[in-house]
Amino acid sequence: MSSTNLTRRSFVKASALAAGAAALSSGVATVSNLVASDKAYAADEVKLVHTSCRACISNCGVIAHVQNGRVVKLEGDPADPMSEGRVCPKGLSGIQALYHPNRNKYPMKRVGDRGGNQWERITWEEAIDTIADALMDMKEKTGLEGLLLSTGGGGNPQFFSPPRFRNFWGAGNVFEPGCAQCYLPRSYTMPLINGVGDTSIADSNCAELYNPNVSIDTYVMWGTGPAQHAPSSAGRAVVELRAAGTQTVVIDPRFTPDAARADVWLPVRPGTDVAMMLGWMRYLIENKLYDKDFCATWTNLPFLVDPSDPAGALLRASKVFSDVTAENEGYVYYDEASGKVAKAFALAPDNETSYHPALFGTFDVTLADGSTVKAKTAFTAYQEQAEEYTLEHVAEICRVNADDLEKAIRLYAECESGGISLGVATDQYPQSAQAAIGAAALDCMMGYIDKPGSPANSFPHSAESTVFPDGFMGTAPYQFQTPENITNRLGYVEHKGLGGWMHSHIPTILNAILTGEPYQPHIWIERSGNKMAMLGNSASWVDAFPKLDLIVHMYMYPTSFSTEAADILLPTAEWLETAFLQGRLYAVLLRQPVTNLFECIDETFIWSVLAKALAERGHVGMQKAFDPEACGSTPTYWNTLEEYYEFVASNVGMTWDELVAKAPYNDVEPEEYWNAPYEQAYKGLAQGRDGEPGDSAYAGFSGCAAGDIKDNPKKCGPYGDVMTYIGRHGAEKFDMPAASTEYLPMPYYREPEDIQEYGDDYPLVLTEGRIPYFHHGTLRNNPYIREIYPAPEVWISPEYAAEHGISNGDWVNVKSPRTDGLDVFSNLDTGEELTAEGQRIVADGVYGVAHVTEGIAKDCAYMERFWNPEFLEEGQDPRKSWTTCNMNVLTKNTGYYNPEFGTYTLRGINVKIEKAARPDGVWYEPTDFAPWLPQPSENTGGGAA
Amino acid sequence: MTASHASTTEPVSAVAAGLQARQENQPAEEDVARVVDCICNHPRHRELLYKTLALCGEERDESEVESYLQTQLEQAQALQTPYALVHSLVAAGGLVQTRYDAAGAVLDSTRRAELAAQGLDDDAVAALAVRRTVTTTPAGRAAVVLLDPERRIAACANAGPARRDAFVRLLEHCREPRSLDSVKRLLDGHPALEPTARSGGQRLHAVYFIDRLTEAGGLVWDGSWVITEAGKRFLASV
Repeated sequence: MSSTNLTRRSFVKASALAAGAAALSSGVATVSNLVASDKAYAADEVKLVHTSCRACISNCGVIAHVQNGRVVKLEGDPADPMSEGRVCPKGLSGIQALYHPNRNKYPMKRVGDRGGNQWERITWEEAIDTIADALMDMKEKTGLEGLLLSTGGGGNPQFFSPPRFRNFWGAGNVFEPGCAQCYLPRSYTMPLINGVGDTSIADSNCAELYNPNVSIDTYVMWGTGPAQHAPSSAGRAVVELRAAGTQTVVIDPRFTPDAARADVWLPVRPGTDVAMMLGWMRYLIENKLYDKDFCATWTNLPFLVDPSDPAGALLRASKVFSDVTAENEGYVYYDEASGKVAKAFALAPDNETSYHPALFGTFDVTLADGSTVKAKTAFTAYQEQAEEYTLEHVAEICRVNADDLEKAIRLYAECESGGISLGVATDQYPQSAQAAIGAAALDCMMGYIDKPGSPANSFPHSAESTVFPDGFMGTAPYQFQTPENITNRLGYVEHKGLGGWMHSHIPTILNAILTGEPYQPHIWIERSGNKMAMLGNSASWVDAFPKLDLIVHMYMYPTSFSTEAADILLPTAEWLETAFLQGRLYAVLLRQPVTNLFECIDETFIWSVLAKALAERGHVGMQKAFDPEACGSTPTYWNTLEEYYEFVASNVGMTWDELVAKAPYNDVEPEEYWNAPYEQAYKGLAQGRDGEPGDSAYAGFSGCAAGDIKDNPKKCGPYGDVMTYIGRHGAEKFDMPAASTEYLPMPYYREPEDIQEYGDDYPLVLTEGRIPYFHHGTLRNNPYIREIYPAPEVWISPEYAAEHGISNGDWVNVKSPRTDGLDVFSNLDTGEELTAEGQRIVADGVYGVAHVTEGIAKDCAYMERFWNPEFLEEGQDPRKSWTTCNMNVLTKNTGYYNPEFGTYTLRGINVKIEKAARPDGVWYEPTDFAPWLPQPSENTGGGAA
Repeated sequence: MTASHASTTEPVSAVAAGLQARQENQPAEEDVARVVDCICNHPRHRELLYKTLALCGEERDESEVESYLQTQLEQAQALQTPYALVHSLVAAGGLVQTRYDAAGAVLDSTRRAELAAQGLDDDAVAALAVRRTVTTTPAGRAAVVLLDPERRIAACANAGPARRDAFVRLLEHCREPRSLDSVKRLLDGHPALEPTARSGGQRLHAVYFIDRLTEAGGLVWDGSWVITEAGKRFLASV
């Protein structure tokens, strides 16, 4: 709710004026000091607008001070229970981002060849007409599948926009450099394992961190650093937890602020986390530190494994009992009380005393066909899986101290309350699914599920980062896509986990663009920042751009992707100009437009504009996209921006004006919110529809059984049988062809490829990781933030530095097998090299500034993503913007991808680092960034006005 | 252009100057590569750029070339004007531009220096040009040979025996204008569309053949898919 800065003097003045006006009726002339104006504000009045930052996915509450129509100050909003009024550099940079002189102000069309930096202004009408005509033309010539959409990379995207558009269009592909390499592996897998949800701090799924009523004894931050990625909210919360006595374990190659204050820091070698997780499991099992009662009663660890199944799926009851069919399929266990194999069942008050499953052992099972097999329990399978991962072996693989390792495990296992938050690090190399299974399974083994102090908790209003708001995709009465269209998504049959976000597999997309197989993507609409700085082995994409008929880039300002690839630029709004709801624990924040500049439009609405143009050209799906009957629970597109704002407000049952007046507000009061059910969430009786009593069984964990299990025993699933099923059948409403590689139910360790093939010549294992100044590819053009972090730091150990004559602060050159042409992206079918020419562009390697430190894991290095917008200034070579300091030309989109998500390798690649000179043209001194100082501008209402 | 005029042409870029310095008949590999990159920079412009180079084997007025491009089917899809396309080729070294004054004299560097000495600035000198022509350079000619559509079509069709039949059938089919659905029906069930061992179970789509032949210059869209003259010549050769 906005408030005016009404002083006593101005109030008195207003009252006098009002009194004078009342006197008009008596015929007395009144001196009026009113002056006609076309402005909606009074000069010098400062208006406070409560909004929500979108400089990153933390979405902290912010109050914008607006004077004379211009944003003059930002501060944190105390109404946000997660940040409590704090705001980080990214958020504070909002004014400079809003008024950046290089904003895309209006649509532009390329003049000359791709790779250049010449543009001409066009109208929105011409831009939309060009894109819509091209799409309809493509549809007629080669069909729907040629549509390619992308997002990610920061810059306040609404992640659901591209999948929605593609779904309404009917076919095609969506990707983002994150997804399989960022959050999807955890958000998809962990709920299937622990029955609750993922434990990502950055994506706001750890409400328990903010709970004032509980204490957390031990908090394990595995591959995550809240002090870096969310200093205002989670970073602050962890500081307070530590102050209150929480012991922390930090597993991170970097000595981050959180690691510096941890009770145990394990500087794990990047790419080896799963070995460590298996080591933790071995220790828990060997020392009987697991929660025996929880494991036996509420997990699938007692269930028997099918010895004849190639992937180790759980034994199906239909194989054992002749009266079990597909209609009542279930799992089986060995009952210690009866000495028999029995079908697993959902526990209820009237049957729970009859459930006595064996946790360990191998048992003779007589099958329905009369044969006898020996079947082990899932926990026995885990015991065998983890057997080789002794403390010493793990210490060797992960290059950590064995005593520290044991101390960490003990802190985790011997506490009253705690758990693991798994961060993005493990999503970024091809063990993403395995690490997600591992971390969730560990918490299951310890019973750290829905307990006070557990990150794995199911709070009713958990804040999330608007990746996929409930109901935004929905189930529509009209069939916008056929099963064939869905199955045709590139790489989806192989990597079915991508279906969680309706995305496609990036290397398969690149392969398709370059080879035309199985079909050619034709039109690419990209809605994010700088793909050249975010994609793995990004130079390999240069050879792809000439294959696309039309490339559209929607963003707030030009980036390397604009110059390398785009034909049309569409100006999107900054977060201070956009609108959406943001849940923050029990509070509801409204991100609302504080101003609207130039012809910029909220990207969520740009898709509507394009959809409308397609509908007008006869695209049936897009016509239906505006039809509430056709869409059902899926929100329709909007005809006007005002309609969109009303949609935003309708999510909380209000009009826009009502919401603006009310937000921020508490949806429930804190006391009620924190009165969480905890264990009663699964030990309570199951609820039926609409809150009516359901069946007599306990609620349990209903989402962890495989799709063929009809008698759901409602156990959480540390043995990921559900993953094996998904690999064979998918999780769509129809059965999909099986992936060619099985999805295995337990984590397994796989040594990274780079170190095996290139470790001799590229001796350092490189990792990346968040810093508080940037979000993905954003804000490298922000003058004050660049002053703080003008170039990427390259962390190396004192030993390596001494060997190579590098001192702290020296510029260094970094190369990898990708820049050196040794590891070239190749045809996924034939192995023919496809992108050698593009990768040759970066043969000189990239540059950064050495930070010599003991705070980096042994034989490792660290370098965060970076790019140099200064090379987009007039007269500069735009290609240098992404080839100079960009670590993503070093990373790997080749070789092994994990079966579940097709994750490639961003962390755990191998590099070599040598001393170098500062590259020409790089801005580094504070005054270099002066051209980027903000140029305030008037509220125009934006391009949709 | 009268016989009295110097036959030297006017380089308008360093690239073109480099071309002149080299032996006319043997363009450097990197010069040819630069022209090829220009032609292949954007699929919407590829055939237009190729045709321009082929047309300008003899010196042509720029206006004539731009008018020619306007008549090509592919121009309807172009994102750049004919003027911009011509000048892309000039910048890439595939064409060399010559400017003539009203008397028919070439405005080369020597002439410009003379005019500058007389007090004319760059704008004034530029204003003297009343005729602009373009001619394909040796590198441009080499690119024309390299990217000859018949050669491209043959390379495409002969890349693998399993698919050759599908390519040939499609070309034959498109001697008459065909819709996308017609092409899909033609190739439905063709063994070339079967998944390979490493294609992740994914079948090849019929549009693969359309796209490859379009890229090779064998098919063009004219409200429906039709074979090009180069496509017909390829069929005649098999």
